[in-house]
Amino acid sequence: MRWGLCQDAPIDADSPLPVAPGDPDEAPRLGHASRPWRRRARGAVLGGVASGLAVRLGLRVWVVRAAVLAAVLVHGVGLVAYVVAWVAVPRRGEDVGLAERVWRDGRERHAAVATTAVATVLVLALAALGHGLGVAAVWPLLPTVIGAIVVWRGASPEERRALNASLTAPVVRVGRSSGWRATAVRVGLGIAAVVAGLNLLVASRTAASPVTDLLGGLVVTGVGVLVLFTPWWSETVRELAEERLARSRAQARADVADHLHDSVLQMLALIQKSADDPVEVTRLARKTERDLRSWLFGDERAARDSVAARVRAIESDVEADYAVRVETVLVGDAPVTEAHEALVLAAREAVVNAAKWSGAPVVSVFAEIAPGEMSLYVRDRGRGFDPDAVGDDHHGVAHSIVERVARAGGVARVTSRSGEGTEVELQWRAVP
Amino acid sequence: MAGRPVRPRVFLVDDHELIRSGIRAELADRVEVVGEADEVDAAIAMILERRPDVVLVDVHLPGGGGRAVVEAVRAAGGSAAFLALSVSDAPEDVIALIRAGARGYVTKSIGGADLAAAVEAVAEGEVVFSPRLAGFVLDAFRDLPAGTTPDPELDQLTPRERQVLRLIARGFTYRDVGVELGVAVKTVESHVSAVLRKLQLSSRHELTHWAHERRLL
Repeated sequence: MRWGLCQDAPIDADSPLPVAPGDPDEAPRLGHASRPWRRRARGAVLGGVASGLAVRLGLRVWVVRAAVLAAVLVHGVGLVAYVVAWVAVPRRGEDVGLAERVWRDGRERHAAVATTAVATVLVLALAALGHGLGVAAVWPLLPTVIGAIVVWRGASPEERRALNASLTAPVVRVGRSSGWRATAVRVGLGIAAVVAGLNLLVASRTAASPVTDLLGGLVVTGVGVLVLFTPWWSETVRELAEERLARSRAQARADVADHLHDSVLQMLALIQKSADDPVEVTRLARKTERDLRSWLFGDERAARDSVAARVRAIESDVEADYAVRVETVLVGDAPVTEAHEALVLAAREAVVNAAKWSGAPVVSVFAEIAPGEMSLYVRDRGRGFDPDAVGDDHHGVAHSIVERVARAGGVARVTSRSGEGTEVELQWRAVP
Repeated sequence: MAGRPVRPRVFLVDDHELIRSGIRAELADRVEVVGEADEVDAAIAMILERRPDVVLVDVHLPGGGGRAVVEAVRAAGGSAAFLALSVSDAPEDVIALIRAGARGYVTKSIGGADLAAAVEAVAEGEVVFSPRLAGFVLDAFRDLPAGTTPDPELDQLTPRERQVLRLIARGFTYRDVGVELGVAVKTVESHVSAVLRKLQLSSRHELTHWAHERRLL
């Protein structure tokens, strides 16, 4: 990971180039012709254009930066070149440049075109109003503004964060420094800027180009005010943010307390009252557990149109009404259709039957759910019955389950042996 | 099983004293509890020192979870078999623990006799699939047409394995599964062992992806 002359540059940890350290063949190499030009993420002042170029050419970073700055003085050529490189050259670790990314994304493209149009009009209007700002000043300004718009729309979140940090860091540092010297410098600069700005404003009444002076005066005064009041302002912002955080924490705690009170404490009181009724205690405990679980883990399956949620609801409803535990195992999920609904209702009937008649403490439900397909099994290890011995008056199984499923295009099968329990099997597959 | 000459030596890892004493009471006459711990580091040290046959380990523990215990003990050459025990039911945690090397997973609502049977099974090198774990595994290996994975040998379940898992998810015991499919219990056990091996060795990124996607059953 050495690039000859640029050894004083911070070495990127994210460099993908696997060069053995100390390899004599690699050490004296100047630049990497095979290596594409990438804007650097680390050590970037703005876009990382100059430091990226330094790596590419094998030069020291300050040399490239000085060259760019010198070029800026030549009618702003350097500025325009910098901005063009910023939007055209991809950042290290990214495949495409900012301009390309904005262009590919339809919405970003529209936004960028619209803001560019507005900015162009503004810049041209400024040029027309202020006689002092000639074409010479406008031509680098316009591409710079457009480039800034592209950067603003196209930067990845990470680059945006880095840029934000490097742009605001000096302001924050000045704002937070509390030594008397820093304060004196800040106040002096601020007052000087305000005085100069006001002077410009006053002079604008008699100047040759009043609009330019007026705007300039406003800007300079504004900067002065900003410098003077930054510490106070940043302090206020920080306090506000802290206060908001504290409030939302308190809110969250209150929510938890409310919920614990409603569900858990009330339930514990109920459980103590019915301590001599083990069935009731179990039922209450299961209900509390379910409530708490769905509240803690945010039941994503509570969505109305989820088959899995419907199947799960059988568990809570039946457990609330009968002294059984329903163990539900779910695989997959799908939006509810009529056929799914029919199978779920039939399964509910089967679970209720098992809870009522089987005498088993546990009913197992297993559902495999897909958009055009579903299998449901309801099983207990209770007393079971002989299906052939059940007369036609046994409406539960005959009507609710078998016929309901048959109407939806599915098949229901009931297997039961006396003393070994019952299993209801529901199958449905959409006809293509 | 009553005449078993040697009762399995069991170690409990759970951060709740109530749960530990409950389990101890339930298992008392079928296993020998050789120790217990309520946090990861103590558990690792004591398991390596006391060499239990089976470690009942809670999925959620302060200081890294049950997974940290399993990984550390196995890395240090401990020979204990792990059985995961939890109330959480969060699939990614359960699958992670199995992938780390646990030989089975049961929920804390399991009855005392069933838990003792599960401990004995794990002590004898068997795999314990609760219905819920079978559901998780079916879900994790779902929807993958043949030929789309780098390693079909490990990344897919055979139709027979799926069949076995479905029956377990439906609440069948291994013995019931054997009766249903007309095979010996040993065959059923070898199927679930194969599934466990696939679960542990498969590098299917879907397994991770799946776990991230759903936080809770």
